[in-house]
Amino acid sequence: MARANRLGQTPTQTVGPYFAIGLAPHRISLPFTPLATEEIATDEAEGERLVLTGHVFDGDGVPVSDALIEARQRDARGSWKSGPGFRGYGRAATDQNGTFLFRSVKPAPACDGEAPHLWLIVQARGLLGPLITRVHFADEAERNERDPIFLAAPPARRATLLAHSIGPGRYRFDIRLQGEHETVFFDL
Amino acid sequence: MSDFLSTDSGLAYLAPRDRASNPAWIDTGYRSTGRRGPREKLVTVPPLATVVPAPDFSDIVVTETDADLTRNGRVNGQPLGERIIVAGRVLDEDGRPVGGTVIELWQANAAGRYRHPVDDHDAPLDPNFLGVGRCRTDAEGRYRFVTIRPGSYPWRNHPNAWRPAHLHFALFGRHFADRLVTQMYFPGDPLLGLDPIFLSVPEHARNRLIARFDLDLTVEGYALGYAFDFVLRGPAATPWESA
Ligand SMILES: [Fe+3]
Repeated sequence: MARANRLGQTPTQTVGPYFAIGLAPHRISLPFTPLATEEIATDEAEGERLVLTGHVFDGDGVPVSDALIEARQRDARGSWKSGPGFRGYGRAATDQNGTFLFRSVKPAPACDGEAPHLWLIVQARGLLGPLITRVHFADEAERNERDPIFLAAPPARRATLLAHSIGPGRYRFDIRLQGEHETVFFDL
Repeated sequence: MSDFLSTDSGLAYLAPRDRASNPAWIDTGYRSTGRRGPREKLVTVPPLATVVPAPDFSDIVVTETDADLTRNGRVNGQPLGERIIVAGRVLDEDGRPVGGTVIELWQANAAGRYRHPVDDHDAPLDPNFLGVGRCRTDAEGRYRFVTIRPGSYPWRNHPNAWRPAHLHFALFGRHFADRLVTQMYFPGDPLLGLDPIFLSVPEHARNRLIARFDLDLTVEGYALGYAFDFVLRGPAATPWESA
């Protein structure tokens, strides 16, 4: 556990209901330039367009209208590096229906042992820390079955990590914070 | 196990989050955790999952005004309330500075009101205060904000519930998983012992969220200074530690 002589890590607290002021000011028309938006990549970026959308639900199946989702991904060549139109990081806040949406390009895997994916951090009022999950693509079954992080999830729960195609370049990924089909969150 | 992927981002494996110093997901005192906190155990992953780099904001310009909340929202004058300075360092748990990282801050105004459409607290907005700021740490991990001391505000968690005065902060270390969103409190606040969100932190770690009054940071004739350091996770001691 904690090693001797180490400083104590700062504990986490909830983002609360008003995080948009600091983390998504454009969503509430606050005159302050956002550090990041729902554009993980712009049209300028190389690669196949990707729109990732979904809902966040609580343990009663009620949409969570005040969740913050941060996404991190590799570019269309499998690199983490920022490039023209590509930061590989985005932020979305859910709306009144609990819906979020990211605009990006399809991530490429870095190597044979990895499936294309996006990492997500979910935070909200009522969450006392960050929840980290991973989006895999349902139509990449063969690669998913070789990916050690996908395989770390218990077999019966792996389906919660899959985004499903809902149209050309559009995928749906729902997040269930709790209850039946609770999304797999990783100990990170 | 092979660590061939760890070299791809150039990052060392990240030490685990110290769960014993962090809140539980379900907290009986904080009502909305009951339906939102996960009930399944977090899934253990191989160490290579920790080497995802934090977002790169090196191209984003952060100005001195961004870090001065008494200036960045001015329309026709100064914001009301007590000016304060909040400064300190971002370190990892081995004491190494985390330089060049962006810290984001948001908060209520002096009356305890947020400039957010969902806040219906019957306290005045301040036309000259947005309640948002941003700062980048220098090479030694130092940061400094000038702002207004926020007011307490009521919430609906339980009868007569009031939040102690607090600032909301968000930052990354070198790793994406090293995300820290937290709240900083003020010394001597009588509401601390009554606040389920503050009390959700295990007792031994609560003082890590309370700033210290600091006369050296205090600017004569201008503003009181508060010192507050952020301690992020460090590199794992061994490749296996986070397994
Ligand atoms: Fe607050």
